[in-house]
Amino acid sequence: MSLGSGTSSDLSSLTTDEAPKPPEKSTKNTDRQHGRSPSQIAWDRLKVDKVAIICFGIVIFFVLVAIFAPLLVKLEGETLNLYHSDLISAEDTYPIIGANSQHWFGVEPRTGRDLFAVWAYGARPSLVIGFVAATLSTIVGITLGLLGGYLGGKTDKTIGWVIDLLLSLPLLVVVFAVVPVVQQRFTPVGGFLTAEQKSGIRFYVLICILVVFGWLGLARLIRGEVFSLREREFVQAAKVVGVKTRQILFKEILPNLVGPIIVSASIAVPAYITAEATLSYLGAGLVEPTPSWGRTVSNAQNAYSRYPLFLWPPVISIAFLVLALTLLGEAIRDAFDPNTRR
Amino acid sequence: MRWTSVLAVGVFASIGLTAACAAPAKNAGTGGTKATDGGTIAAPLDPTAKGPAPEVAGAKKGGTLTVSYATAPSDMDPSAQFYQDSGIIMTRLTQRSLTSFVTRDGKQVLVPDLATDLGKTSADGLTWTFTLKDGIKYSDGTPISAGDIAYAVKRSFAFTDTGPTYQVDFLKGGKDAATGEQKYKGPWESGDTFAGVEAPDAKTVVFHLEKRWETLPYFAAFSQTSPIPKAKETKNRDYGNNAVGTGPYKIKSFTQGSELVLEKNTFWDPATDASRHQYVDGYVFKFGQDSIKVQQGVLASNGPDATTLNWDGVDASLVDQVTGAKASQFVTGPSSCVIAVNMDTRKIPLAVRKAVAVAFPFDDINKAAGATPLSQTPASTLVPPQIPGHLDFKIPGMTGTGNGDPVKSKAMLAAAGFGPGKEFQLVWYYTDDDPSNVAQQVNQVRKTKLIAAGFKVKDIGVPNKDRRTLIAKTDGPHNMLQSPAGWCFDWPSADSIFPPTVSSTQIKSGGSNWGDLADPKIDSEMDRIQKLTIAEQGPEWGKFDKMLLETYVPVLPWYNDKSNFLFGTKVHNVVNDANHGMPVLDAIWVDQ
Repeated sequence: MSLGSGTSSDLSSLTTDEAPKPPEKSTKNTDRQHGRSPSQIAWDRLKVDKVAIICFGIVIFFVLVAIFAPLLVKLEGETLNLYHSDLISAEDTYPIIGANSQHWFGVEPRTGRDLFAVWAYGARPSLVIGFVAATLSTIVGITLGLLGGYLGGKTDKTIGWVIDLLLSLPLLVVVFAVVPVVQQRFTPVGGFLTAEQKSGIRFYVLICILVVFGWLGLARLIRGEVFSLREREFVQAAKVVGVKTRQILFKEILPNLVGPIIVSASIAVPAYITAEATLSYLGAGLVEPTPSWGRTVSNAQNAYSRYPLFLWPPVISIAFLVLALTLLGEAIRDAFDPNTRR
Repeated sequence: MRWTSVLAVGVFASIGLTAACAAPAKNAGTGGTKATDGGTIAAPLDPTAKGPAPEVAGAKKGGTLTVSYATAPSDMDPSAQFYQDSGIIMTRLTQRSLTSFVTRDGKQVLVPDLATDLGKTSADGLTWTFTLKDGIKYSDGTPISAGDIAYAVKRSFAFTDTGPTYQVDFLKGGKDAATGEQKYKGPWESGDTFAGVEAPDAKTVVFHLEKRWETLPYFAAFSQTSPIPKAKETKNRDYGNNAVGTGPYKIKSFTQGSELVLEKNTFWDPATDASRHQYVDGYVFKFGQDSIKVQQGVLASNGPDATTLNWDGVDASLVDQVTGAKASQFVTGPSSCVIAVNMDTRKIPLAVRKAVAVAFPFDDINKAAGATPLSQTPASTLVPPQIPGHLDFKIPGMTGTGNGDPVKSKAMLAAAGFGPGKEFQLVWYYTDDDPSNVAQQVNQVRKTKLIAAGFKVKDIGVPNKDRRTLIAKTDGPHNMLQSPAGWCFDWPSADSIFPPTVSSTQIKSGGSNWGDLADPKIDSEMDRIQKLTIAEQGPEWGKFDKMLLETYVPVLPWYNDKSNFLFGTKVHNVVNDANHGMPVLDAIWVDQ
């Protein structure tokens, strides 16, 4: 990632770049050449980036759909997992209706579930897993990266070794191996799990696996940054006056790494959303009846030739959400990158 | 014959439907069979048939036939098999038995196989003698002996939990006369001495019976009478993985839940076999497939899909094609199976069972399963219409149609003392790893509708490969949808339906049956009927059917299965055997 090296070391050039801009725009920022942090500069850039704004809007739209799914479905006059078998033809088990005012996306072939409800609720696992896993993997990545880079020695070696080990494991294979094992682990002896409990367990297992495999890149990036930062004068000075290690890490070094961290996190979210959809599609994700876009796609593909309405909403949603998040990530990266000129 | 239901109930879309047993022709309601005295034989017997079997016109040799379908046999042990898929594979391809079937003019005819005739019975009907043909060898080249067949019959007593139990009922010393419990439990547990079967010399097998069994020659077509050399067997079902056979094909490899590969058995001599062919070079059975994808591939017939056959019910999205442009790649016909919703009468009180009947959402479940008129017709009786003596009656709530009445069901539950706060809990297993999600969705529909009707539901999701074994256990936590999920008659007389599905022998030998019934009144009524002649039995079984369903409500009849075969453009001569609901596998040939 090229931005990594740029963010901190080129801080001076970054501020110089911004210098010609008229400072009178904001009365608060009279001292912009020296008082503005890289984050503030990036934010200013983002605000005027149309692509970023549109993408942000799309992401917010899906977030709102997920949050207000029950409300939206109620607005439609529906309930999740209500089986409208009366709307299914007994001859070939396909719906006898298309999209209408009662069923905005039609109903599911065979079962007659309202597809809008399935879609709206299906946004939840994708987004929750995407954002939660991204947040957690970022936190873990930052912490271990800082520790490894700053402390060096055995700590660094150990962390490096763990990273190498994890990088050598294939994610998909691990998921397929771990999910049933964990599910079994949580099954009481002689007892059983309901489908909802299984979905619950799989939900957390997916987050855990994505976090475990997700922090590696960021930790390496941060470690490299910290390696160079810790030799810088302000860090050395802090050390000399006896500032605690923790304070040096979080107050002195971390603020210089905000750029790469935000960028890494914003790129992680769409990657995790895709991962959740992929795993659900492959059958390692959430199970019936918990809605999930990935599984809807998997169910719908066989019916596509007869009832395309089944397939389109989740496919379009995944495509738009992931595209929007990725472009947003790009925009954030550009905003933080001092080498970018517009 | 157990139905190969894997996906709980009703999943037409993913069920290896179809039968595999011994059943002579059904013949417009008169298919009565009589083995010995030639009385009213509508289903023909041909004790003089000689090998080789007549060639199929135009048949070519060579190539490999792939059979891909949704379910998976749990083992390939000839002593244990009683499921349709493994049954047809063994009886047509890998194993020969004392008797076998040929299809003539679309009808099934019972012919001698390893034996020289269809058995000779003594005057009192209590002794049957079969004489073996000369020169028959196992797939490893060693000759068979009558002792191996006697041993195989004894060995089948060790697998009565999943296998047939006719032999326990009829063979001398099979069960304890006083208690009705299975007495002889196979050679490993009870020793090699058993009065029911013996081999006085290397060519003769003699069965000694407890009571008259006129349909024994049909039972003799089961793989339970296929010879097993004692020296090569293992004392468990793993024997099936490498079983030596006598059929035209032998097992090359068997991976449970995944694949079975058969290759030609060079020691099979067509001159001795009146019923089987050896057209293709080998068979590959692929288990646990996503049947919709298989069917789409088979209809498109690209590459290896052109020589693939699928016997799952045709998917709803393909109904247009198979009734239209691709009609030449589709064969349908009746099968021998009745599918039903089983309940455990020991755990669910009668009043609650009646409430389940009132509440059961047949139509919704059919739709969720993707069932179409091509795949099934509703059933209201346990004796299918093609069996002589079938009594056409309809008990409200037990007609295999309708969508349940939650209000009435709640009222019935309330009257039985169950209501909000103390609902009656129904517990069942379902397949939770069906790749097409159909089994899971069917389960959800069933669960949702029964909860709406006032029940509490505990649904236990288990992998496809474990389900058959779990639902066959009688001491599990489940109280409904236990095995059998359906029943396919073994020969066209209801004596191959009722004793095996409701007799207390079944429970006492560790198996499950309709309602898990073990009622002496039912047993004595069946004993009474079985003492009648085959012709007299018919109407009595019809009345028995009605009495059973009305009085005990052990099971809700659901639908009569239809067989569906989809096959690639290079697959030829796919013929539905109407009494088994399976294709005559060995008669199929392929273009290369």
